[in-house]
Amino acid sequence: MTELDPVIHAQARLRVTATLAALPDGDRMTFPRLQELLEMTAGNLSTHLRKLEDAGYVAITKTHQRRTPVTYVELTRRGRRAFEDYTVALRTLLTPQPGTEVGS
Amino acid sequence: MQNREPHTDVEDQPPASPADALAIIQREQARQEPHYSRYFLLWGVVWLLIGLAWFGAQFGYWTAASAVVATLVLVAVATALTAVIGVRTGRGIEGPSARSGIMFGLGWLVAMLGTGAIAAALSSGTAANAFPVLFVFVAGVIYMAIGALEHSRLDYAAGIAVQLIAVVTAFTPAPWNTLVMGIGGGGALVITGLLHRRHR
Repeated sequence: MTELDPVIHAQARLRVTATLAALPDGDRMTFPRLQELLEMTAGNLSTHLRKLEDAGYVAITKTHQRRTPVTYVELTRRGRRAFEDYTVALRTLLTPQPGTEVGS
Repeated sequence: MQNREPHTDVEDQPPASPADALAIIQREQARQEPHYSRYFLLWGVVWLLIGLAWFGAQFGYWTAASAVVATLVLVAVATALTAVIGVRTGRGIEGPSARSGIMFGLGWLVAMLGTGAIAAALSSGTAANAFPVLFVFVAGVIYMAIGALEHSRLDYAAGIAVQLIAVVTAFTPAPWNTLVMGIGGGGALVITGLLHRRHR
């Protein structure tokens, strides 16, 4: 049985990871933009980002732009690989395995 | 997911099935795809209107001056709208793709200004036989576009340099124009090649 990564395999974190994975390598997104795309509250998004950050899947950078604090979020290399593995695992689960076909 | 109310307890649950998980991924990623259709629709309509404006002027429905004004206004408005769409699409995103977008956007401006300058030189009569600069200019535009798409500042700068050389050549009287084009264009590419080698 293919194991699905429990860090990603939760609805909110899957949405966060999928959104960040759609960015080209090296790009990062501001926290408010991510929040707007996902239509999540700041608190909720922070909670899930922390779990992803603890797993090393997400890097959060706090910086300043013309004295305004900006928080950037991006997938780490490890996070990107974990997401790729996760999608491969999903597709494997969705592909009928030989010998497990249900007879008509 | 119809209900977008924040319920951490619900959103912490795994998707109902692998198919649901895949659907979530596809939905979130589709949301981020750039809407290139907007650029094509906008400029398609502008192009059509400019064509009709000039067609009408040739038939005497209105003056050529009106067609010039209409063209300038349409291009100015469409350029502003393009910039707004570009900025809105890329807002909150930082990194190579954002830089690439800015380079590409500015590239249009550079290429259009260069085209205007070459058209002015060719129609002035002094450089009417300098049409080979068009080939040089197009080469410069292509280098610049590649530089923007590949995030290569070197190729981008080389493209602008080649376009500039084409413009200068167009304004240079014979026989010096051929020298400017040869040394300038060839020199720019040789320098670019050497810099590429150094950066490897």
